[in-house]
Amino acid sequence: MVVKVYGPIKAACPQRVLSCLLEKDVDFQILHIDLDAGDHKKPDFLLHQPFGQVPAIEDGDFKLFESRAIIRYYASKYENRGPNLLGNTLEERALVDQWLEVEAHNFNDLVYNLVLQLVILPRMGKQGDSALALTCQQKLEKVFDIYEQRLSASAYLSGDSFTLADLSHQPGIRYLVEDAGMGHLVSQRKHVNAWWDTISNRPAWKKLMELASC
Amino acid sequence: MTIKLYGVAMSTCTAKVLACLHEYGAEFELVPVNLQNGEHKQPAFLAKNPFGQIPALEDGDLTLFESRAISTYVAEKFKGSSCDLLRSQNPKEAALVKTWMEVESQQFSPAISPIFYQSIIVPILHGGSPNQAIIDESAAKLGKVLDVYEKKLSSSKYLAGDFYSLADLHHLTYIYYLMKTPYGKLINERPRVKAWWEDISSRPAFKKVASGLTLGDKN
Repeated sequence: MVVKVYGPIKAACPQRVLSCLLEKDVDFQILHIDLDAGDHKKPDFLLHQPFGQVPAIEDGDFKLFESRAIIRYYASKYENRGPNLLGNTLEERALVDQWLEVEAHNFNDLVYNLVLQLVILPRMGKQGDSALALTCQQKLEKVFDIYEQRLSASAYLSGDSFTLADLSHQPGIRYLVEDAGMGHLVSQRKHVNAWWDTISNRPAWKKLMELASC
Repeated sequence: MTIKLYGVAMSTCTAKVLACLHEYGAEFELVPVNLQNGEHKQPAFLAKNPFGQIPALEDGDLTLFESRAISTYVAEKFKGSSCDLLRSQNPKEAALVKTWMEVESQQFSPAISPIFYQSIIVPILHGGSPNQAIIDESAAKLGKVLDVYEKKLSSSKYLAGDFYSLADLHHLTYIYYLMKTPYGKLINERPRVKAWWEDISSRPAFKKVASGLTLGDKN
C-alpha cells in the first residue's frame, strides 16, 4: 500500500519523512499542500493534523503526524529492510533518541528562525530581523562546535552508523548551506563538513533532491 | 548497578525523568547538581552533557542526556514489568504515543515554558519582574494547543489512547508549576483537560515527585 504524505516536497518537515521513506524503499504519494494559500489551516487538513502543520501521513487506515514520530514509526516498521536507522541494542537506541532530541531542542529552532529571517520573509517581500538572525547564527556556531567535538569521536552522531539522528538534520542543514548562505558553519568544521558530505550524498537524499527540483 | 540521575528535584526536566523512574519502581540515585554555582557549565558535567543542561543519566557505561530520551530509555529498559508507558507490543499504539510525545515537545512545551520562566524563574531566581507581554503571547498559544487537547480527550481518556503513557507523563511537571500561577485557569477552563490533569497528577508515582517541585513555594 502506498503511504500518502501530505505536505509540500520542498518543506523541511515533509522532507524529513520522505528521506526516511526513501531510505526504507517505501512507496509513497505526495499530496501537495499549498502553504502560501493557507491550505494547512483549512478544516479538511485539520482533520489530518489538528495543529495545522505539515506533514501528516495516511497509511491505509492509519494516520500519523509529527515528522519525528513518523520516521520513528517507519524505521521500526521496516526495521529489517534497508539500513538500520534505529540502532541495535537498548543503549544504541537510546543514543539515537538522545541526538534526535538534540536536533529537536538545541538545533531546529535556531535553524528555523535563521532561515525565516534570511530566506522566507524576504521571499514573501517582508523585512527579516537581521539582529535575530545574527543571534541565531552565534548560538548555532556553539551548537556546531559541540557537533564537531562529537563527530571527532564517531562517524555519525549516535555512533558508527547512519541513523534517524543524522537523517533528521538533513533538511535543516540543506537550508542553511544552500538557501541561507550559512555554508561556512559546516565547511569550517572538519568533522561536521565530512559528516554533511557523507549524509548529503546518500542515494535516498539525492533522489529526494531530484524529486524536489521538478 | 544503580542508575545515577544528575539534576535537581525541583527542575521540570529532572522531575519528568523522576516520574518515569518511580512509575517503573526503578532503583536510582539522584545526584544533585549545584546550578547556583554553575556546576552544570563546568568540564566535569559537560563531559556528561556537552550542552550544559540537566538532567543527565549514567547507567553503567552508558551516559545519556535529554530528558525525553532518558525517560524513553528507562521505559524500554524496564519494559516487561506491569508498567507499560510505551505500548511497545503494539506498533500502532506505540506510534501514537510517540506522536503525542512529539506534540508535548514541539507544541506544548514551547508555549508553556515562557509562562513558567517569566512567572516563576524570573522573580524567584533572578529577582526580576515578569514580562507580561511574553506571558500573554504564550498564554494565547497555549490556549490554542489546549483546545486541540480538549477535543482529543473527548475521544480517548488519555492523549495517545485509553491508556496512560509517557506522552501524558511528559506534561506533568510543567502543568504542576502552571497551576501555581494564575494561568492554571487555562487548564481549569477546559473540562476534559482539567479531568485529565486531575487523573494523571493523582498517580502515586507523580505524587512522590510533586513534593520536590518546590519552586515558588513560600517557606
